[in-house]
Amino acid sequence: MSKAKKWTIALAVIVLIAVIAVVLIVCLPKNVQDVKDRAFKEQEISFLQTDEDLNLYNSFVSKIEKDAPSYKQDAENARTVSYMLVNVLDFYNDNLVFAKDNNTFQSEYRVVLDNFNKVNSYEKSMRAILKEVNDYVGSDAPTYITGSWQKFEKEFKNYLASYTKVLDGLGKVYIDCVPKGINNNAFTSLVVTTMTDYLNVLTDATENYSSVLTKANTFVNRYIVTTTNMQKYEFSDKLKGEVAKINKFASVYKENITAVIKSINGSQITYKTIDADKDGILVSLKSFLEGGINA
Amino acid sequence: MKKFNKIFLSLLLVVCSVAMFACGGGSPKTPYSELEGTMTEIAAHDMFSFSSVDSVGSKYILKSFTSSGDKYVNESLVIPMNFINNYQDLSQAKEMKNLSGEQTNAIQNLERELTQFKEGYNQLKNEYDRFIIFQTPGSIYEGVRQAFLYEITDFIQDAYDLAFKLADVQIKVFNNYANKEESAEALTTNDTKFFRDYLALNVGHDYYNILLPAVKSMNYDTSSSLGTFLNNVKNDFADFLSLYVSKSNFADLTGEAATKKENGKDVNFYKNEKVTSLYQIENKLKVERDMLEKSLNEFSLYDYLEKYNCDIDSYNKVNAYAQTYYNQIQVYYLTTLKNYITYLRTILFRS
Repeated sequence: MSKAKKWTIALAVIVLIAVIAVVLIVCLPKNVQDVKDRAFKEQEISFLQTDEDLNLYNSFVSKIEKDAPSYKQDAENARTVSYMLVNVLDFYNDNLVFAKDNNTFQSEYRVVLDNFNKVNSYEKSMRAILKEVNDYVGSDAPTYITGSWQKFEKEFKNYLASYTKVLDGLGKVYIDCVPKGINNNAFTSLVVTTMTDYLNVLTDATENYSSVLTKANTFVNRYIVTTTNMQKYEFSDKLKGEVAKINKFASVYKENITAVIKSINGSQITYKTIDADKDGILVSLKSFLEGGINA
Repeated sequence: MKKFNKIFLSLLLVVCSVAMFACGGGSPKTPYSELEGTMTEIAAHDMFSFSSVDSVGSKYILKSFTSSGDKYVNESLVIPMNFINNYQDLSQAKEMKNLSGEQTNAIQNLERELTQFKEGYNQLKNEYDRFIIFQTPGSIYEGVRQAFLYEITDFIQDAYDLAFKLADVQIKVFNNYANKEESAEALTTNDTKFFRDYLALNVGHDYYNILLPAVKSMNYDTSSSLGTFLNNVKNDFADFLSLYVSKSNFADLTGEAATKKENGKDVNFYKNEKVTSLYQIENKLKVERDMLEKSLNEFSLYDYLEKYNCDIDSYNKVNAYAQTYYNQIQVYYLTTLKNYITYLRTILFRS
C-alpha cells in the first residue's frame, strides 16, 4: 500500500471517530438532574442573595444617591428585578424535583445550563464593579459613580437577558414535565407563560421600564410568591371562567399578551379601549396582569 | 392403528377441554366467605370493642388507644375496617358468569391481599398477647406498648390495602362508582354511599400516611413548628370524620335524564356533572398523592426531629432537597387536602 493511501485511510478513520464522538455527545440523553441541582445551587448564590452582595450594593446605592441621584431609581429597579428573578426561580425549584425527564427537558437542558453560565459570568463582572466602587478613594465622585453605574447597568441588562432565558427554559420544563395534578393546572401555565412575557418586555424595554417593573413585581408577588390561586384553581369555577376568557385573547385580538404588557404606562394599561372588548376578555386580562384575579 | 388414533384423539379432546376449563372457562373462586369470617373473628377479639371515635361508630375500636392523645390510631383504623365491613358481601360475584380478564384479576388480587391481611392480623394478635401481660406503667410497659403500636401501624396499612382491593372489585365487578356519566341508569342510593365511602377511604389513607408510620414513635414538642403542623393535621382529620359521619348532610348525587345524538339518533342517558367533576378531581388528586409519596420517602419526619433537631439547614446538608420535600408534605396536608375537603363539603356533603 502506498504512503498516500495509508495517510488517507488514517485520516478517514480519525474523521469517522470524530463524527461518532460528536453524534454521541449530541444524541446521548442528558442527565436532567444536572439542571435541577444547578437551579437549586443558583438560588442561593444569585445576585443579592448573600450578605456580601447586599452590603456592597447598599453601599453603591448610597453613593449613587449622593453623587449621581438621577440614577437612584434605576439602581432600585435593579434591586427589585434581582429579587423578582430569584422569587420565580424559587417557585420552579419547589417543583423541579418532581419533573419527569422527557423531550422538553432534554431540549431545554442546554438552554438552561448555558444561560446559567452566562448569568454567573455577568454576576462576576457586576460584583467586580461593586468591589471597585467600594474600594474607591479618588476624587470627582460624581463622574466616577456615574461611569460605574453605567458600566454596572450594562452588565445588569445582560444578566437580566440571560436569566430571562433560564427562567423561560425552566418555565417550559415546569409546564411539560411537572405532573399535572391539582396545583399544576391551566392557571399555573398561564401565570408561567405571562411571567416570561413580562421578563421579555423588561429585557427589551427602554420606555416605561419602571411602570412595567412595578406591575411585573406585583404579578409575581400575587401569583408566584403566594400560590393560593394556583392551589384553588381546580375548585374554583370563577377562576376557571377567567382563565378560559384570557386564553381566548390571542385568537380574538390576533396578538399575544406581550402587546398588552408593552402598553403599560404609569399605573395604566392602555392597550385598546374597553368598548372594543369582546366578552370581557380585555377586562379579565388587564385584571390578571395586575394581580387582580382571585379564586 | 385406526382404533389407536380414535382413542388418542378422544383423549386429546378431553385433555384440551379440561385445560380450557381450568384456564378460565368457569367462574373464579371468590373469597367472600373467608372475608366475612375474618372480619367476624376480628370484631370478637378482646382487643376490639364496639364503640365510636369522632362519632364514627365501629366494631373495630382498639380499647387500648381511646385517650385523646391516641385518638388518631382509631381514627386511622375505623375507615378501612368499616369499609371492609360494609362492602364485604361478595356473594353476588359467585353467581356471575363470563367475568372479563380485568374483573378476574380484581378478584384474584383481593384473594392475595386477604391472605396478607390475615397474616397481619395473626401478628397483631401475637403482639397483643405480649402487651396485655405488661400492664403496670413503667419502662417495660412503654416498650411493649410501642411494639404493639408498631404492629397496629402495619395492620392498618394491611387494612387499607385490603379495602382498596375490595373497592376495586366493587368498581370493576359490581360497577359501583363507575363513571356514571354515560350510564343508562341514575346513580342509586347504594352507589352514592359507596362513592362517598370510597372517597373517604382515600382521604383516610392520606391522614394515616402522615400520622402513623412516622409520628407513632416521635416525642415532639407540640408548641414547635413541627408540633403545630402535626396537631393541625390531627385536628383536620377529626373534623373530616365528623363531617363524613353526619348522614343528614349527604348531597343528592343522582343524575338527570338527558339525550344526546349518536349516529344521528337520539340516545337517552343520565348526565351527572357532580360525579364527573368528583371523578376528575380524584384523578388529579392521585397525581398529588404520587408526589406526596415521593416526598414522604425522601424526607423523614422522624429524622428531621430526632437526628436534625428540627433544623432544616442541617437536613439540607445531607439532602439538598429536604426543604422542598418538607414543603410539599406541608402543602399537601395543610392546603391541597383541605381545599379538597372544602370542595367535598359543597358537592358531596352539602355542608
